[in-house]
Amino acid sequence: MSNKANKRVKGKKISRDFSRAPTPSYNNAIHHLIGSEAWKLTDEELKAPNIRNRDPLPHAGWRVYVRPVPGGPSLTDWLKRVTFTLHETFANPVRSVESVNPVTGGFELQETAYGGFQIIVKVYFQQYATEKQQQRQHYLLLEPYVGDADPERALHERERLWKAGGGICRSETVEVIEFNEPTELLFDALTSNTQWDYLQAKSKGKGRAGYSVADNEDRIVGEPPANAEPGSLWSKEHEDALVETLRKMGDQCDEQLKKTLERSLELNQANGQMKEGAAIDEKLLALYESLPPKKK
Amino acid sequence: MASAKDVKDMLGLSGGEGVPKQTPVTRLVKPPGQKRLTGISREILALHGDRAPPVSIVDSTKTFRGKINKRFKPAKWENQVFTNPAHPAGLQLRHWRKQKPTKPVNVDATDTETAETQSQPEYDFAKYNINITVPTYTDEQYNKHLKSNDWSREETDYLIETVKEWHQNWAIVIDRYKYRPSSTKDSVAISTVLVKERTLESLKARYYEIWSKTMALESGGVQNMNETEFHLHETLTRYNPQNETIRKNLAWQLNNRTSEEIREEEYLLSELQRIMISAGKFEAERAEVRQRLEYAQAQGPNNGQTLNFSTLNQLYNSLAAQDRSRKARHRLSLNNSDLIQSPSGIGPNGTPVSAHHRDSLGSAGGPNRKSSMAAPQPVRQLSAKLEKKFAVTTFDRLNSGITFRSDKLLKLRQAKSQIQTQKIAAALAELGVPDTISLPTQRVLDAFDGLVAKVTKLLDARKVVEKEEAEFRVQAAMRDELKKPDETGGDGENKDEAEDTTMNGGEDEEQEGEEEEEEEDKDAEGDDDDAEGEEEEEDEDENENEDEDENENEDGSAEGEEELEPEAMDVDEVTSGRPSSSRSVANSATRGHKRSASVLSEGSNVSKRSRRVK
Repeated sequence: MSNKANKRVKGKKISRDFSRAPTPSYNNAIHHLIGSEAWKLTDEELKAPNIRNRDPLPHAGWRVYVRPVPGGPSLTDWLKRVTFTLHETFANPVRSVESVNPVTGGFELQETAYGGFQIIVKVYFQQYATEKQQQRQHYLLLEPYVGDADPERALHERERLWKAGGGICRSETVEVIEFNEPTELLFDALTSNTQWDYLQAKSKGKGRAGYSVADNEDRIVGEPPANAEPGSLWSKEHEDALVETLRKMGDQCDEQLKKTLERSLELNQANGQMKEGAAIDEKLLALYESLPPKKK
Repeated sequence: MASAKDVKDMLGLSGGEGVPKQTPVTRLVKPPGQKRLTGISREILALHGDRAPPVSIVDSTKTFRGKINKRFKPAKWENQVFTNPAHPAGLQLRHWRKQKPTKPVNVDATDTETAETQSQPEYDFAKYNINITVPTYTDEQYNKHLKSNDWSREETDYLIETVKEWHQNWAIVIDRYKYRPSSTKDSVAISTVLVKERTLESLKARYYEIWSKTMALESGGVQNMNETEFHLHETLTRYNPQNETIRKNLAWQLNNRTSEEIREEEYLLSELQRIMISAGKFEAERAEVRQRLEYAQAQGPNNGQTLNFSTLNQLYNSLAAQDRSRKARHRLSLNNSDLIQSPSGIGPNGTPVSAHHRDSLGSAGGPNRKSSMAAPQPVRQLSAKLEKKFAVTTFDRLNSGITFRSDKLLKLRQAKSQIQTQKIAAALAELGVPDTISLPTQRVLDAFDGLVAKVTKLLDARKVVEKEEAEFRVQAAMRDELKKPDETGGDGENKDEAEDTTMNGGEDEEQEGEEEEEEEDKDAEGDDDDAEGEEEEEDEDENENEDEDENENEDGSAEGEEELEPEAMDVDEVTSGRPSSSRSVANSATRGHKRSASVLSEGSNVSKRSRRVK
């Protein structure tokens, strides 16, 4: 490879969002997402020979994936292949995925399982990126997570979530990968409008007219769309909500800080009084009562 | 076989004189069967032995030589008369010349004179006799233009004459210039006007002055001269005797330097050179420091982040790398300076170095600095809009490679110590922040960063409050003791219980104090003690009033040990009034400030012992 190809674009950083994990929705590709989706196997599926003989019997089908966020640029411009390292009880636990699903534009792997486990997702970059592979982890969730301790309520809640998800349990995170000082070739690839061309191919295949090349000019990487599908992770709405929650938490923090500082002031004064030998009054007594039990 | 001759010879008898001796040389000349090479010294020949000589030795006498031209006849020469035009007319001299072959041989002594005069060619060296043209002037011209206070007409004429005579060879002119005013006119004037000693410069000045003026007069003004004339005129008028004198003096001084002076001058020059170079180095170093400071300043506000550990670490790394490269450069430059300081003076490398030095001086603080910092501008430039579109951001410094933003979120949660990290995690969990944030966009990242900063602040505040609470607790415990004399007459039975209580309470306090001091040292033993103390802590208040003096002391001692450094004053206050507590104070003093579980247990042992004594 020539020197020029390896030359890095100094001082530049390019970030790409993607998701990991399964997604239920085929209509939209998902921005750089790592995730998984799982569903209950039907009785018929369970009777299939390749499943029937397995022990213990799997009860869920799942799909793990690395996909572009909906409406986002394609992954293949920088991502060459993805290997998923499954639980060791699987035959050939290291599965390499070299090609993308043309519908979702993501690297996907489908399997069945009887329990959740940690999947190691290794991403291998295109050669011109001259980067080493990177490793991410994703926990395969086969059932919607319910934190409730009460088994009955938990069951109900889980049912509700199953229904809400349309029979699919999705767990995914948007991941942002940052190319610090990318090579010039990579830089060119990541700043070209052709990154969205796969969307066109997709819409053609589906016979829809939701895409045009002209839109490429207006597309923006790394900014969640304001008009995303409801419930989608990759949306302005979600981002706002998240920021808002964090802000609220910060306010909460501030409140507590204020309280703590007030208490500190009180204690300080009380300590001063005690040292001077002032008489113990109601206030001091109350303060003393308020001392927390000692740590264990 | 020795002959009679040999015998005689050995005995020193002179019997064989009459017989011609065979010289050893002749014997050597004819070695049997060997051809002797000539033209080479015998010793060298002997060195070769039997082997063939390394170069072919050729007898020069045997090589071909052309035959001597036997018909050669030497040319005829004759003693000719000639006239030299340089000499006053008529002077005839003779010299030997080859006879011309075309001429019929006619060496008739009688006719020589006429023949010579007839056939006399031009004298060969006549062409070298060049008469220079000197300025000429008429009386009128002289009186009008050339008069000088310093020069009389007569001396001026003499000067012109002398210069002409010696072909303007000034060295000779000054040597021969001996002007003596003619005594023809008035002897009075001569005696009064002393003949001036003329220097070469004054002679030249006068001569050039006259020349240039006459030139101008002849050509009718400067404007009418042609180019060469004009240039000549220029040089003549520009002659400055003072400058010339100074120049000659300088040259003379330079020439007259002693070798010590020369050496000293060289040394000083090399010193100067060295100073200049090191000044360049210093300047470069200073520029680097300035650059560092600027970078450090620019980093904080640029990122919009607080200067946390990771950024500081990054800064440190970059500085270390810079330092390394700087060291490498120093090694190089040292070599350069070595070269330059060699006695030859300014080496070929010297000029570029000093030039660089000037550059760095000139550009310090100027807009060129960026380029001198050798920070190549990014090759790819995008418009701001495109940068936003493609999520491209620009930084001054980046470590190339790949990062995930979710890792950044994780990093934010981590503090320097593990305990602190755990505390932050607990606080975040309390607030309900999930372990993983599913949408790590920049906005979320910033929000999270702010949140974590707040949480850390809160934790710090809580720590302070905990300390204050502990102090308050201690104060309260002491106050309770002071109160005791008011309510005397506790139960004898309760006594032991009370003792235990206070003692344990005291230990408990100790434990508390220790936890504050060394928060990260979680100790199983301490926890046990704590648990023990905890049970009876609630009883403490009730029992307080029934405590007796002994308990006070024990309590006091326990407290004394438990006191943290800042509260040492208080301990003194408390203990000074109680002689029995001095022991515990001493104990704490000997053990020093470092407290551990073992120290604590010792403390409790002491208090137990003291109880037993009573």
